[in-house]
Amino acid sequence: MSPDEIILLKILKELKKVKLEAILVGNVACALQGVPVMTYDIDFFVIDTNINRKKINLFAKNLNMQILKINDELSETIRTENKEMVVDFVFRLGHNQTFEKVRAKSIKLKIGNFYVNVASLNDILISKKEANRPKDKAILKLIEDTIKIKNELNKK
Amino acid sequence: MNMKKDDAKIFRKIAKYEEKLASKFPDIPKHDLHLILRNLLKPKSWPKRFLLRRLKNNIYVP
Repeated sequence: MSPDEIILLKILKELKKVKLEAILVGNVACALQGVPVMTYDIDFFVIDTNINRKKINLFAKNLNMQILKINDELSETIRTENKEMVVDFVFRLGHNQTFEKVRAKSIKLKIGNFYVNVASLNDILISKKEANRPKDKAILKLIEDTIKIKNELNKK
Repeated sequence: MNMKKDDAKIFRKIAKYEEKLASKFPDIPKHDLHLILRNLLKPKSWPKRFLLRRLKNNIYVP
């Protein structure tokens, strides 16, 4: 297992411990599905409820992470970080991308002995198109190209 | 060079698809095509790398 997988596994174990249902999104979700990208943070999509915000607090506390933006009720992202990792919890993806819809199209990937729900490349593509930030725009073509190649390989 | 036979087989497979798909998808840069195929065809046992680390001088490294 690579050092990156060990970090992800540590996060998945803690998410399970605090019973927080989360879908892996962003560049890590892309990388795990073949897109040649690397990133600095690990993004999870969660439902915005008070209980989930408390679970995120507990997650951060258990992993000795600092919490940013947690007091802002209108915030759509909570960032948790320590010297080893940066984990972002996002409450909203693209317009019309509800948690249930994204989960329905997600895939399950095994990391160590844990399974993680990973958003489909199509959903990530939609969210990145809508986010429209320069860092998202930069990898749109790579995601589209990976989807094309994946479809081609699946034909065979 | 010391390369396991199994690994050499994977690289041959990647090269084969690369050749086949390059003409079908001329809009995909060859460099990207190789990396995508490598990621999609690599065995589960190969390590997955996706995180960058920030060095003190604000340089990011895998």
